[in-house]
Amino acid sequence: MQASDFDEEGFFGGLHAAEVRALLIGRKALAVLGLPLLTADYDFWVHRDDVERFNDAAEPFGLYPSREPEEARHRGRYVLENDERVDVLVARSVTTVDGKVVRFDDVWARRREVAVGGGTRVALPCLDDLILTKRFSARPKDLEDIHLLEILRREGSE
Amino acid sequence: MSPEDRVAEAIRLAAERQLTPEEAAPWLEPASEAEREEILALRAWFCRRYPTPLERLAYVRRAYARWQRTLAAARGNGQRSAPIGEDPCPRVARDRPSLRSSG
Repeated sequence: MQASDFDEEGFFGGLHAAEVRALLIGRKALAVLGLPLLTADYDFWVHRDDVERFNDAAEPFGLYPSREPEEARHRGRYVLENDERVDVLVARSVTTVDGKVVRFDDVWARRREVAVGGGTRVALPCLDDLILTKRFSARPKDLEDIHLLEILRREGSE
Repeated sequence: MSPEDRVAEAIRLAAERQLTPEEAAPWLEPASEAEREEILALRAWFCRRYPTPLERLAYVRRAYARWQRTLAAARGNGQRSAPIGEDPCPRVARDRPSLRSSG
């Protein structure tokens, strides 16, 4: 496998320049918010019509999709990988473990754009929605993340 | 599959398992005042040491690579890869030893 030249600044900049509707979720989003957590992969929730443009933005960094866009839309998930790994959720909506339907369009409308440095920005769900995304699976690490995010929410860290 | 790999697989399965509402309840209780202060202090340090999100993401990437190297070295020395029950995705706090390093 060929090593990639992945860098967040270039990747986020490419997404922003191409106006891709892509939300950074997962533990990397928590790192952006100032919580030092160990994680290997990136997790994005991407609008299903923007899969091709998302892949185009990743391609210069040697990241290649595990599925064709149409199949990815059908399955709702795919992966971009090389020596970095990007998990991509492309569902219109996801239901939390306790039955709440979370729609991409609603989360996108409430997003926050964060300046990450180097003149680049990345879109994150608002804190309430980021917590909801952690209830999609409710694994132990998701619950720990919710615990941490609740502390930020109570501090008014948005 | 080696014993090491079996342990790693058992940890992975435990970490990926969806919890029942009863199991989840203790995790979702509000943080104590001491824990809240600890987390906010950790966050303040992280943001002071790495002021921009790009710097923080780069730090996480380096820390993950360091953790992987440590695991590989432990395997090479015949040590366990990780104690059973240890969070396979611990908080990164090794540069700040006064704070807990895992959940």
